Amino acid sequence: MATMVAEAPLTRPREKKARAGRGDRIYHILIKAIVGMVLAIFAGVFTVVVIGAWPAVKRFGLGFLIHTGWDPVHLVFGALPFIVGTILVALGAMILAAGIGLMTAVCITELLPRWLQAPVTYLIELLAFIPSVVYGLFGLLVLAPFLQDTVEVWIMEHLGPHFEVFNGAPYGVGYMSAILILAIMLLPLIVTLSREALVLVPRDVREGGYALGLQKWDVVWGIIVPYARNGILGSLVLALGRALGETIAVAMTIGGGYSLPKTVMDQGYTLASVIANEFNEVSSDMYLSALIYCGLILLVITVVVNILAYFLIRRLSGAHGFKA
Amino acid sequence: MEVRDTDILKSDQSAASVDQAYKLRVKDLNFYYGAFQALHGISINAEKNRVTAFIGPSGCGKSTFLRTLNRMHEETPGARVDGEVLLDGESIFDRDISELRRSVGMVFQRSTPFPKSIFENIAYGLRIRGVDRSSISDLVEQSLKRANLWEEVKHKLNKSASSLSGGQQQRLCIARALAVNPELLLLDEPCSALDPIGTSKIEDLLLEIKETCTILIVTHNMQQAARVSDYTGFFLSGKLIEFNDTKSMFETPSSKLTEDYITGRFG
Repeated sequence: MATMVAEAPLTRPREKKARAGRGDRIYHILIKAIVGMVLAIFAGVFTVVVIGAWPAVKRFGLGFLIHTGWDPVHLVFGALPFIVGTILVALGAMILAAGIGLMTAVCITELLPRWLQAPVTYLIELLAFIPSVVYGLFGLLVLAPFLQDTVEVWIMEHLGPHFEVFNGAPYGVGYMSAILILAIMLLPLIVTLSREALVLVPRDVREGGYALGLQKWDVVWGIIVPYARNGILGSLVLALGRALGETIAVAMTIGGGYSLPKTVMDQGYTLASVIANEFNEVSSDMYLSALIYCGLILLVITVVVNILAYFLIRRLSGAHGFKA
Repeated sequence: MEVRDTDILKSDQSAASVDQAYKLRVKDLNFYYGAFQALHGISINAEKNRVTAFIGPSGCGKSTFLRTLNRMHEETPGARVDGEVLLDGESIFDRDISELRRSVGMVFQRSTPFPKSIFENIAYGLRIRGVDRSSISDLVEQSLKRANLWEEVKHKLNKSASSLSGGQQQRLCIARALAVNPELLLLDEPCSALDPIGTSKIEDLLLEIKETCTILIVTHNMQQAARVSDYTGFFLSGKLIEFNDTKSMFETPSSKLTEDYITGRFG
């Protein structure tokens, strides 16, 4: 074997070898250029955002992050309600979508007969192709009125008197609509990626569980899901990225508001949706700069969350060594 | 094979005494994947506390046969079986499947540790089964000792099972199967992914385990069959060509096909 490897280059014509070397070099340069370009784009975006936000950063400092109040006339700006809104909407949507999505993925791979698995997966994937503005329209025209007439009225009447967090007015549009719409948008991402992680669990591991006389439930939740853990977490990280940054569907359904939310039915803004909804109404340079400052905060949150998630997954896979 | 059947009929009159000698009796077992018939009329009796090996070329049906014995084939869509499989005289198809699989343990070709710690790999099945919390750690220790793994892992029971070597993982899987005290242990090419040291450790282990347990092992390695088994069956194209005690099988095979296979003329 070793001699064969050694002989092969000798039998090759010299000029051909030289050409192959040149091709290799060009390929390397090309790849490095592309990588460099991607990094440059990221650096460029970051720079532009920082420059745009700079007047507001200079004027409001870090206090921008912890102050409420949004008054374009008197140029008083504080982004705390939007930061809180972003976190609440993303968290709420993630909790709903992660629970339902993982259950759905498990149902597809472990319970459905094989001939049904592909069509069902495809139908769920289709949800990902619907433009977010269409989700926004659906939320605004269908979901919000429905919530307003049914669920929110019930919550207000029955839970409102007992819990402050449910004691709000049924507007329809608001946090609840935005969270539900966003959860629906996250579902296809979580379902398809977790499904792929579950499918990759080796048959032997699955059968190893059944061979012990374990029931399906115990095999699925005790063995298969833990085995696919990294892939599932990866799908959640991607979904979280989308949840933090989703703009138009949230802007259309969250209602708009500049104070901290007190109940699930309040109206408000996330960082992304406040930019989208206010950008056309900008009346001064400082107003514009404040909006870009919001964008900068969102950018930083997204990057930090992704880095944390990366280390979380690395730690989990390091501790158990099961790659999915 | 037929010779053995008539032997039984002559010497033992009642079914009960046959059941006592044989842990497992298989009669006219046919196996189908959809329209394809993978096993043709397999009949076999496996003696208690003995190692029975099945050899044959790839795709001959030996693994398929083994997988019917704990009804693992039911996890494969489209698989269908007819014929009789009696464990201690009782049809395995009449038994509750979870309960059957606890009395018929199985170890696979690729070691299949769960994504858990070494301790949990064994404890998980016990806990689900409702074994008393206090006796679990005793049972884990006992099973690891029976699988000759205790000395190597006793100081790192909480480490991930994937940190073990291939041979250790396979012995962990054997320990896991032994923890529920199976009467019958099925091994599907347990050493095919192991180096010679790992292999010989498992072979030694099988000879110890058979004191308490009846063993059926599928192997593509004829030397292994000769080393560990008391009886050997030779499969070819879904048929059981010959079944005999290992010594006669390898020294004086009665079928030309068996002779060709064990002398390496094909397979």
